[in-house]
Amino acid sequence: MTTATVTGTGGRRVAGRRRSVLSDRAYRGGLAACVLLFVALVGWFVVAIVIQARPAFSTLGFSWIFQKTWDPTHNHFGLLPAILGTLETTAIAMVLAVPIGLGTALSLAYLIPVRLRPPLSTAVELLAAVPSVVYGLWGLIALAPIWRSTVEPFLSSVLGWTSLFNGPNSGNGLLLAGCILFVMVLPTMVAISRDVLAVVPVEQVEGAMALGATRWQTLRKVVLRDARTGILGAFTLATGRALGETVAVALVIGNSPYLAHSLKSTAVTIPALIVNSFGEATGTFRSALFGAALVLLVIGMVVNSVARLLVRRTARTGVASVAVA
Amino acid sequence: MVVRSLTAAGAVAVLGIGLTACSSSSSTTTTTAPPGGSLSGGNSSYLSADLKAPAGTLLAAGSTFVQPFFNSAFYSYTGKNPGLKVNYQGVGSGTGITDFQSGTVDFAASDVPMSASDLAKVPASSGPVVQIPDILGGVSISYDLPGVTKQLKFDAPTLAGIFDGSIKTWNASQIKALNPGVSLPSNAITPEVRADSSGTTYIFTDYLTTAAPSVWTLGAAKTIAWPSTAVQTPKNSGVAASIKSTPYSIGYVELDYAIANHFTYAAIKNAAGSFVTPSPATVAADADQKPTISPTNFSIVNEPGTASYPIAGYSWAILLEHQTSATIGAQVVKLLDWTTHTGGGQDLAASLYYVALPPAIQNQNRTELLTVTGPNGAALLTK
Repeated sequence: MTTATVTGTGGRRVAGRRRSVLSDRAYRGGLAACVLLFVALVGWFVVAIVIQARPAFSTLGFSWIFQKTWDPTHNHFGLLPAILGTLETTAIAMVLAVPIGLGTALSLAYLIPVRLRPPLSTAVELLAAVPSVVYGLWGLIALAPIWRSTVEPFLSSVLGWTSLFNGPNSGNGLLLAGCILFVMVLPTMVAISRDVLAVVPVEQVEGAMALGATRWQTLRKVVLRDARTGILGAFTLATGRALGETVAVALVIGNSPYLAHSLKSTAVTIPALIVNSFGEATGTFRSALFGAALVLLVIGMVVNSVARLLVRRTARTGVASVAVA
Repeated sequence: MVVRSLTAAGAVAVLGIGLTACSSSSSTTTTTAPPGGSLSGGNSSYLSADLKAPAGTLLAAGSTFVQPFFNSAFYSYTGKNPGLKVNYQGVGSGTGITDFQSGTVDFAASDVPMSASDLAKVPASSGPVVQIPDILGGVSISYDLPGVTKQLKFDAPTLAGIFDGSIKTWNASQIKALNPGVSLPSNAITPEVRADSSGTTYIFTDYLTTAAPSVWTLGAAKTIAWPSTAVQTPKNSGVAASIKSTPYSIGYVELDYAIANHFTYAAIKNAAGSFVTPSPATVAADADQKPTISPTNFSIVNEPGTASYPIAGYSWAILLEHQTSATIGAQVVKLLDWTTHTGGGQDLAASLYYVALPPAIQNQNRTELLTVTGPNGAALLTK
């Protein structure tokens, strides 16, 4: 139904501009078919998950999503620890990835000597192609001992007062999983941001400079502001990858389905929970895992909507401040 | 008419299974049976007949524990019997059972035999199910304890305390009492366990439930509600890697894997009170103590005998008793008969650090496979 309106509007617009010729019509039909196929695939995907998840919701209601106990053997499917674990690891990854990713992208687009840009850009894109299981094994075998012996004790001594780093140094856990995710989403963040930063019109940059803005002021007030929507796109894709990353997280997070009391605690995420349990799950357990997948889908949508809202709001205040100035 | 005669035969077969189950439980109480037993006559003529299976492709799925053994055994079998191809998918025991119930595979493999509720989900028209052990394996207690070179000793109550989180440090009094003369550090213990559902977890917790029932309260299952102190990693190789990279950790790892990767593992106190190091020989000694097993009475943990390593278990192959295709049926029984006997697939066990099935179990497997019939009601396994 929604697809019909979409093609309808598109059709009217094209038809209104000029008489359509045969090739135009074929082109339009082809595009409509693409959209229809896309919508059908997404719809099919969501419907399939909903159908598989339904038994869990009909036997357990909805409260299990917010309960704390995950013990499939005794039919407790509390999803809260996994939901929080997913949000926490993603938050750690994005808190690191947004500033560092944007900084790298700005450097690649404006600061680094032109001759050095292509090899560095290629290196970033290569990182995006590394399979996630390789990141996971790297984390488990190489990083976990360093996190346990050096990184976690250091953070505890410097930031211990925040009580975010209480408890023993475990190596595996939220912090390491978040850091692995940071490395994994960084290429996405950098590659897309660099592309949108690079297409900011030269006239605007030069104009700002001509008005006496420093390089930093130009980057901050003109380039970053102009590329805002594109950067949001980078953020959305990177967040999506962090929320949904499965194997790498399962290898380093400790998969302990309890509420984490510190960033050093072992925890679990929804994708890790699903990949660990799915092969052997039957009945309500299996259905609850599909329910968990549905919850993850909703989390992804909520996070992206919030990000979109924030950007829209900053856009408005941005315009306002310019007007006032 | 065909359906009716099938269900009649099914009822008879169910009775038959019931009878063997009864006789097995009575025979375990008598300890006079010779451990292990010996292979029944005619083994070699069965094995040479096995290698004349009809041409075609078999599809099977299930346990990842047995997969390396199956890959090796099936490769060897199909090399000697070139018309046949076997496609075994290591998708996990649970998925293997689901596939078997829906009839999408010709046979399945599971680390724990199908339970009564699993069997109830097999369509009644399919008839009864035959389950036979296909390989034997042990579970090692591996650890990384810097500064300690002497092999540690554990008993079931101590292991139960370590894995339920009540024993927290390496110098706890229970561990000290079992290891006099070893200077144990005061570091916290990190228990390393499986994050995914696993037959290895089942065997280990079955042992704790059997040998330390008053201490271990988390049950025997393929997934356990581990305490929050436990680090959970997926797959055997994941737990192994995590133990290796975590000082002061301890976990349970399949013995074949622990031996192949030169892990440090503990000696475990058995039912006879002696501390036994895991090895193919001590696992076999444990299995030999129980010459008759069935899908409902399959646990071989904590068996008597001074040489028995107490944490061991079988992996199981699952097939239908009434095969609807004479060709596929013959392929399945011949392949599984060859795979589960000495002179056939069991000869490959040792090189892969698995343990070969005791002769008594091999004989029992042949008896079971001889009950499998084709559409015309005739046995498919031939000499």
